[in-house]
Amino acid sequence: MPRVYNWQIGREMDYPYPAARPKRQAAGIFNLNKCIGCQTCTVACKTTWTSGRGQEYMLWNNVEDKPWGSYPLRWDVKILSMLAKLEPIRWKKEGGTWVYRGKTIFEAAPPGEIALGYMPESYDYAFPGIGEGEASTSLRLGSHRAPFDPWFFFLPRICNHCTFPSCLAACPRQAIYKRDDGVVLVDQFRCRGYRECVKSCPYKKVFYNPVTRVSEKCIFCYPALEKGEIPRCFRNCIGKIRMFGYISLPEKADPENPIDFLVHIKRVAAPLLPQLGLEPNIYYIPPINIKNMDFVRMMFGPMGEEAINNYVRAIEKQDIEVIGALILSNSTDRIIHRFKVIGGEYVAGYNEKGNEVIRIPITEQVVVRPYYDEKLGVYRRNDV
Amino acid sequence: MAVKKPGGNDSKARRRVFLTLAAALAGAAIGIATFLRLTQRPPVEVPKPTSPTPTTIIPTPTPADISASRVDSVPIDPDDPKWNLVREVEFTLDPQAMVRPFEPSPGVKSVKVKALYDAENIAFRIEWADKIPDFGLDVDRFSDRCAVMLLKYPIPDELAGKAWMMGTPEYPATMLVWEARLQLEAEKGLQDITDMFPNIAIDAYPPYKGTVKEVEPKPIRIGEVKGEEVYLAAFAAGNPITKVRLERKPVEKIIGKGPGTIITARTQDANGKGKWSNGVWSVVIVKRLRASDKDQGEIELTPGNTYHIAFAVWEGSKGERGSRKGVTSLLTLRLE
Repeated sequence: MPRVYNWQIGREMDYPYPAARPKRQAAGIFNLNKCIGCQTCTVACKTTWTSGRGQEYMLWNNVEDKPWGSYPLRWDVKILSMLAKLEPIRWKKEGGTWVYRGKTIFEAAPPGEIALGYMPESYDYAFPGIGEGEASTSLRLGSHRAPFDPWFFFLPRICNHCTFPSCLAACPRQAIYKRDDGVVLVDQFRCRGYRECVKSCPYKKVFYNPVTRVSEKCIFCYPALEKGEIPRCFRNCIGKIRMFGYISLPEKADPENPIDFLVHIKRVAAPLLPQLGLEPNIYYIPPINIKNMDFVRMMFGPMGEEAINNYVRAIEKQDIEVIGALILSNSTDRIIHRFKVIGGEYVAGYNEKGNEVIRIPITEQVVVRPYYDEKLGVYRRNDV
Repeated sequence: MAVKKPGGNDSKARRRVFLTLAAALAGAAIGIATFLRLTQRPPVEVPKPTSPTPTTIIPTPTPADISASRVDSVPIDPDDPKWNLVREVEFTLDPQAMVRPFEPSPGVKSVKVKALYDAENIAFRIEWADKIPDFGLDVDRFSDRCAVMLLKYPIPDELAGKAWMMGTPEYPATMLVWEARLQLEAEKGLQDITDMFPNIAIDAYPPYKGTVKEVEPKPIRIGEVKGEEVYLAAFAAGNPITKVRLERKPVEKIIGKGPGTIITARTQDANGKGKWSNGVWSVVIVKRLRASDKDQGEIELTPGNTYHIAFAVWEGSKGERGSRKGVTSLLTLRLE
């Protein structure tokens, strides 16, 4: 089996095809500290792409409440326990970078399989809102103050458009392909509905449509990307937690590219379940309120814990560049390729051609209107 | 190494050499036997090709693994009494283990086969034991299936192993796949979401807005409302499997030139019928002797000739689909 280099796990790994990185890789950063779980992204996607027959329980974008929520049911617990049963999930810091010394799902594939995986049942898709609003621990009856720190957070999920997609690897008739911009698609003409992709995607983001009898998945709104616009779920995000862009390899990180800057240079964002070995391209700024670091390490690897520390430090120190890059998150419908802090007060975003597409103040401007307006000779009251 | 040892150990050394040789010979014999089993040719000597086109060889294959007898008209029903007059041959099914993913232990262990032909068609009756019929409507359910693969005969030894895996570019395979789900759809119409989940509650799908009666939320069948293709991506993309379903045929004619290359043939003129009763699937697959898609690589059958043939069965309840299947070795078929 060919060996490919996966920078997220800091080592080479087995993959059925030789490495063929796209010209550029579409990526996203989700700031979980700002997600309010309103599901506007879910609805934006649902009404755009999956409102047809056979797509009733199909959510290319979903937001689940962690630790108890999951869609499809227990997707993360299932694959992680399958993997951990074979070999403990362990990371080691070697020469300043984290190296995963366990097995990826490709390396843990049973005989005859391409990747370790399981087939979800239709029942698993029936509870997209399970665990909603449930904290990590329950309150004891009769106590005034809980003797622990309950926490929970929202985890919005879309297809990770992985660099080494297991859906693509598992398809026996090469009906799944990765475009030059890194978007992973299921060819609706070639697919014959074997569902090997549904089985092998650990994130369970490839869905089977029982009416058309083929598999479907998030298309990263490629028609929008081709026009230089961000995907629907990014564009409609109420909390402005999502940033779309193109990510480079760590050694080629461009400090002016907001995705590279936040992921590679400032390291405030980490991928979801990097230990599975797919090099997913949605990066998360983990929530700083999690009291259980084991959970953070499980979900985002050891980089997740570091990302929390880096994020907290950047906010405390008022790192103007980090804040500037973060507030650009879906501040415009246009894809931002470069950003720049101007005069410490504004941050500007530029499109592919280098034209400025957005400029916003870093500190939210506040205008205090006096109680008595001398010009108009009226009182302003806000108590009615 | 052994002969260099001192004289006292000579007999021991000789024994060791002998044992090593014996083991090597046994290994080679097993290897050859395995290869022969894979390609399983009739026990006749086929002359080596003298011209660069090996297809021109005139073989003398006697007897073939399956012989198809001529009748006035081939029966499409597996229960037709005509089938009682034909000799049944049973073949074991082994796992397809050359292409991943595969099922190391397929659910169906053997198939019983009969063949008949008339002036226009050839019919195969395939029978196998299956406790529960599977139609594979749901995400984690897979349909029972069986297939006949036809290839030119003979294929040179060096290509036979490859061609057995759904053909090669030089030796395209014609495959006729019967599927339980297609049988169900041929009999009862396209299986819609309401057939899978009878208690499902849907207000209205976008293209059907205003077409669903308020009092009776009766589902509308696929193909009845204009504009719905937009919401059914594979239909809109013209996925060939859709055509077979809309024509309500349980058998799909496929052309293959190797693993992962299969295409649905342009003309879907194969047909068939499958019946399940008392733990047995009995399926008839009918194909025209003449190739309607010769340009795509479809095989043309002529009476008196011999062809390569193989069978595959997918046990739906074991999650078998695509490359996860049980297959026979490459056999021979003769149209008597």
